[in-house]
Amino acid sequence: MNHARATLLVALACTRAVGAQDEPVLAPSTAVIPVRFPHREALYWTIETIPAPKTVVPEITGILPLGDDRVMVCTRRGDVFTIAGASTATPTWTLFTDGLQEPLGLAMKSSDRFPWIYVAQRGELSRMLDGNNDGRVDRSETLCDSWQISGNYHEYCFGPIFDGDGNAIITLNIPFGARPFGVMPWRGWAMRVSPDGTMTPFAGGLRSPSSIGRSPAGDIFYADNQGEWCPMNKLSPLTEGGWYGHPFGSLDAFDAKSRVAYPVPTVDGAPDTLGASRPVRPDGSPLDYPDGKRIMAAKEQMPTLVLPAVWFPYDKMGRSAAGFVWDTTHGKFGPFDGQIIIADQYAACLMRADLEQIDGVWQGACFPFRSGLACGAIRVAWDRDHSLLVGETSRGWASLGIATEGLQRVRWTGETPFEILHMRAQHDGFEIEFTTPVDAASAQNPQSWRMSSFTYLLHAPYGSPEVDTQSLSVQPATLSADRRHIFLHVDGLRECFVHELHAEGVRSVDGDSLLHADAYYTLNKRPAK
Amino acid sequence: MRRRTILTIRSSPPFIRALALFTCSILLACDKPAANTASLPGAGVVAVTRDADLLIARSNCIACHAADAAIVAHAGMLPAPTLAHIGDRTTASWIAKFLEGHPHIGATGMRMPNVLTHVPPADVGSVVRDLAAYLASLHADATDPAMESPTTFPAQLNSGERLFRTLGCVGCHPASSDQALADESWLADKWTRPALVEFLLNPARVWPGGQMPNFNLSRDEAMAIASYLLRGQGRSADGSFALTKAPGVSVNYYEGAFIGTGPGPLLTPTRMDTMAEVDIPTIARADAWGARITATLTIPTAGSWQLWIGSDDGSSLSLDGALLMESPGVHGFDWKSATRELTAGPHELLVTYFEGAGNADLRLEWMGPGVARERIPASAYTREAIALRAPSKIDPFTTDASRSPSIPDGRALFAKLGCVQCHGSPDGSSQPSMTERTYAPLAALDTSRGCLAEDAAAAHAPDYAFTATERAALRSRLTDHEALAAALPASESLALHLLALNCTACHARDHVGQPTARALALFEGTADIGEQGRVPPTLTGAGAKLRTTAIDEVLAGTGAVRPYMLARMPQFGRETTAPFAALFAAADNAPAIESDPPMREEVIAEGRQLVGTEGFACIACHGCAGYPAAGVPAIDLSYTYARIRHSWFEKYMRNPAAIYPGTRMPTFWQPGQRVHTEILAGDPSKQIAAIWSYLALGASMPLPKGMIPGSAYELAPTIRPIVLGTFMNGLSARCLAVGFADQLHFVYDVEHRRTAKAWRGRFMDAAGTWFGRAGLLCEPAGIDVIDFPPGDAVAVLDPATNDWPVAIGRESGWQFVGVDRDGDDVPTFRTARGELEVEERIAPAPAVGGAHLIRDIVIRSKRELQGVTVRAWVASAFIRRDQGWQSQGGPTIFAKSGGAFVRETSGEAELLIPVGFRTGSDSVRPYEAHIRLEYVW
Repeated sequence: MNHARATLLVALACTRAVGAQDEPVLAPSTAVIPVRFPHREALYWTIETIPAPKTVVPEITGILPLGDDRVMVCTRRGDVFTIAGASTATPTWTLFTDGLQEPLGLAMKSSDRFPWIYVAQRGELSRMLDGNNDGRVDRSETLCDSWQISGNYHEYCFGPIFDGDGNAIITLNIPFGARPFGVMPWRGWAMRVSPDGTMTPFAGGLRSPSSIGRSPAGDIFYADNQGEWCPMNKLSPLTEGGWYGHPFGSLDAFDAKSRVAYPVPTVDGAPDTLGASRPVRPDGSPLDYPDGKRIMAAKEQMPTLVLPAVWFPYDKMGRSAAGFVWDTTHGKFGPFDGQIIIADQYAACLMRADLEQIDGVWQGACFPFRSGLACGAIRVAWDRDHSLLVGETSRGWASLGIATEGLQRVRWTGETPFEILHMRAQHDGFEIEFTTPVDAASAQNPQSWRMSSFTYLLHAPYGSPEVDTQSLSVQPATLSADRRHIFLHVDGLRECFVHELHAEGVRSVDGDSLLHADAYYTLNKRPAK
Repeated sequence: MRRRTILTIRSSPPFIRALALFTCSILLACDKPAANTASLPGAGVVAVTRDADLLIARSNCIACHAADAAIVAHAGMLPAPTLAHIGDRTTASWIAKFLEGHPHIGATGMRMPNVLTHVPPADVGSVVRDLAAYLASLHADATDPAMESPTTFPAQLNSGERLFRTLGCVGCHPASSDQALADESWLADKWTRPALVEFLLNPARVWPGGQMPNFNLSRDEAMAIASYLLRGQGRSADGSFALTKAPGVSVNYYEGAFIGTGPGPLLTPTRMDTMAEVDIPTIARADAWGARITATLTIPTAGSWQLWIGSDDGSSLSLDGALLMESPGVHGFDWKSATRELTAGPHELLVTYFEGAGNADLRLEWMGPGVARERIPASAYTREAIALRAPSKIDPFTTDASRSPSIPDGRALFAKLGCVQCHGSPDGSSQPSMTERTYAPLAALDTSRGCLAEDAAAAHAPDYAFTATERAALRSRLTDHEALAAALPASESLALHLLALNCTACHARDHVGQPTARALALFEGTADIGEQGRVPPTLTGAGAKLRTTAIDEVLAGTGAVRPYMLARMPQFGRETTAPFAALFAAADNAPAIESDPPMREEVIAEGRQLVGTEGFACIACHGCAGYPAAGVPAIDLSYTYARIRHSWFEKYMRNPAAIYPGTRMPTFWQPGQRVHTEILAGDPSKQIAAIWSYLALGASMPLPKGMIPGSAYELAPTIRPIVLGTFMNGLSARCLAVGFADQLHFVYDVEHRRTAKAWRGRFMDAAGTWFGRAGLLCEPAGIDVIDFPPGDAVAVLDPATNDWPVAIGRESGWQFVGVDRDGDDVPTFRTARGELEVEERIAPAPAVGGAHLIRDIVIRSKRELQGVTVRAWVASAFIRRDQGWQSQGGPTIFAKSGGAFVRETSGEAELLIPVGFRTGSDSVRPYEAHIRLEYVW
């Protein structure tokens, strides 16, 4: 309550501050949230529900396919189950263990001699072993509990995944709402835990880092949820020394263990005499921390601020980006090989992200992919048969869908939809690649395309509106010989802006409209000529 | 006798009348024995000696006339109220009024004599004023008590009235409407509300003999009752309550999980409070609560007004009884608005609200003619209030009297008049007793003189206003020296004790007394089980029914087993009620200690079957170990063994109606019939014995078939242990609660690396961890909770005289290594520090009266460390008992390895077990020790 009020006061204060220096231009109120058509999507990707026994509440927060049609899952209630016959109509759920504290991820490590199951709990990173092979945990070991929890419900711990050196990576949520039990250090930090249990805080400023993933090439990314100091849901590369925007734990950067410098450099590089004792605002953010700045301006003031590879605009895509995987099925899940499938915990949908690197900076586009899940989705994992398992729970956060929790499976029907396959930035426009050949006349008609761009504010209020929105004129140019590539000439590309594309007028050679005609490209770096 | 006494009172000044009517009634107590004993052989004699003994006790004759212990034991000691700090409780003018009224019958039927009989009538006025001035000067504050002007509000008066009516106050204080005004003005003149609240919270500070018992009121309850009792201070001249408007709003606050738009109007609030504006109440906990907020909203200008309600979670807003808008359900902060044409002036506002979990917020805004949208200012709200006018503490005699009263003179008079004989020295100084006179012992009185003279006042003796009947009874009793000195039969002594404390105002007992019809009509209960669910239980045969330990527990306030009964069993003080248990047993011809048949483990399963739905379905009405019954809630079966004597149980099971006519308890075995022949061949004796053996497990009884857990989140271990990772009240946010099917449970606090609590009965409602966004604190759901001493269980004391380390858990260097689960899923918690590794495993051992807790601690070390010590418990003291150590206020601990000893530290005693290592099997830590501790409580 008090916190909420404090936030409100700070919000008001900030709004004024922003107004004083630079009036934000809000998005036009006519912005339309595109309607999704799950029954049409179902022609290409089907959704099945994996039934759970009545005694199990399948609030699935971790999925670990084990092979032989067995899947291990963990739940928010603290249970771990082994599901046998997971693709059959009558799977059996067997309790592997109970008594975990809100586990939010399961993993195994390829270099282990024994089949240890790693799990991130609120207060510790642990690993469990069924040594006598009776289906139940015999031993559970605490690998690391070098952080502490105060008791605030929002102090989640996400992960683990493993980096190339066998270190576990976990992320620690910041608390939210009233904090009657005090404040603990290292909230909003990403941690590397070495095999001997040593914890290294290597990135900070995270808000609600709901999942972590490692790309096939070995790059580590994480997804974050919009809220205060996190203007929008995002997917970001997670790098050592990186700063991600939320000031809650920023003073922990002065701790000797931190591998991150305090994100706001002193003027002209003067020595920082204040350190962790610098003055703070009512919400705990340091007074010198930029508040109400546009992303680019914030980045200019905080050079270590890592720009997200993709922003997921509110409601146009979802509201709470969560678990994600790279499509490593080599075409067995559809045409989006190498791209990212990412779940949304509010919209009960899966989204798609297509990334590229320009001058070493990650950026890319996101697209709608599949809506109509039973419930908000928090975890995704590939089963061995190249179907995608989806763990769902909406408890505490109302979501779309007909259920409050569940485990579902998404399969590709083998049909290829008419979709935008890639959206790639060029110096003066975007190259669009389709999954199937397009009708030339519709693609080359400027009326078929619309584009606008906007950016966000890094500030204390909950989420950011779209600001500085501009419509851009789109000139379709050359269509490739295979009629699957088209270059769109766009004037006025802006760095650190999201470029929103609508292509409702485009038709395939068969006369189909696009399954999803909208795309959102986060342009951090405009490619050179 | 009753009629005459009443006439005496009716002709007394109104305040005496009010006092007599208001207070614990000697009338009823003196009256009833005669009526109830009339049919007994020799009843007349018994009644006369009983009346006389009661009068001796209530007149506190032994304060002056020494008597031997046998006489004192007849009715126990009934000391007069202490007058220490009486200036905090009342005023000089009230004391003077009380003394001038020649008080005879004081509170709780105590006799207060008129001791002014030998003061010349012309001097009485100044004597009284000096006494009053002296007594009023006795207050704790160095300064004069500040005038205070508290306020109450209608809902608080209603709540106080209801508490007064239902808790049992009316048993002794029979307030009725025709007496209400007299009571009101008498009390209103006497007390300030803070003083009355303090008195209600701790009456023994004033009445050490328990004449006003302690009802364990919460401060809110005491405040409500005191406000109700002092409502006379809020009346205006015409007798109506002077309702005023105070700034702010009234809030009824409710704890619990709500849906929709919050609590409805029929619920009883957890608390009632006021606050400045519509907001989150400061008394609200973090999650799972609701509120109803009422106020008068003053609209400044007539016109079209738009009102907004913003809330997280659900809320509604009504104006003048009409629902304007709703924002139902669990949701983030969200505004709703409605527009209405409103007249200028007052409008009745009702806001309902609930908070599920997470953020809580509630705001009202408005916009209307000349007012831009804004938060409704606090100045727009008013609420109903009643100002209480405290009696003036200014001594009226300092200004009115011809001679200012003298405190030193009053102090001298207090001693000289003999007040000190009964009341002791109120200012703590040693005062000389009344005169140099000595008093004849009670057994050697001349009963024609002094207090017992036909006209005591004329004889210048303390005047107790004894009636002729009373005087005759006293004379007859006091002159039969042999009978007076003889010990009373237990039944008679018990009767006297029960009458002296007015137990029969609520509890009937044959040949002693029973509640009045009016009191009987007022008792309320929430369970539909007939009179047994509403009226405090009969004491007839109670000595044969209850174990003496159970009677002691009830009297100590720890034995309440009828949560459905609104009347509350108060405490009279441990010393006052110490003889009761033995008297009950003796009076009802029961041995002090019941010899039970041994519990037979081999029939526990059958007993469990019979109690469950496969048998007699006892659980249809009776809860088990804290789990509620399927239907109406009769007494929890897990209490049976600890409370009930086996002999009584056997009789009651065979024919309940023979003991409690009208009981809802069915007769299961009709004579000659066999039922449930599949269980123990239907043999009633064997079946009853099996049920008894099952009930002997107490709160650790495995649940019978058909018992349904209370909430969707209730965890009920059946076969394997359940482990729940949770955040528990008073412990860290990182706890592992472990529940066993044997209904003994414990919690290990991982953050502090220690076993923290153990309990029996229900395990846990996981809603705090499993509902909504979670983060609510969980509590043990069962009973018999013990708290392990904070701190590490294992330490290295080198030298052995070192204090136990203060730093705990990770601060003292202990790492949490992990948890092992054995083949039965029983967890073992592992910690390590330096060369030491410790494993701790806890499991239940079923036993009579509730499972014992077996705690196995295995310590391994890399080398043979000196000074390694296990601390089993910390208490204020330990008593050696049956090879074990009984801790003060805690469990008895049996250390299975030798060498346990108690070490006294500053104000505490620690039960320590020195660790002796042997060679173990671990190659890294080859030195090993096993400590087994058994906890019994």
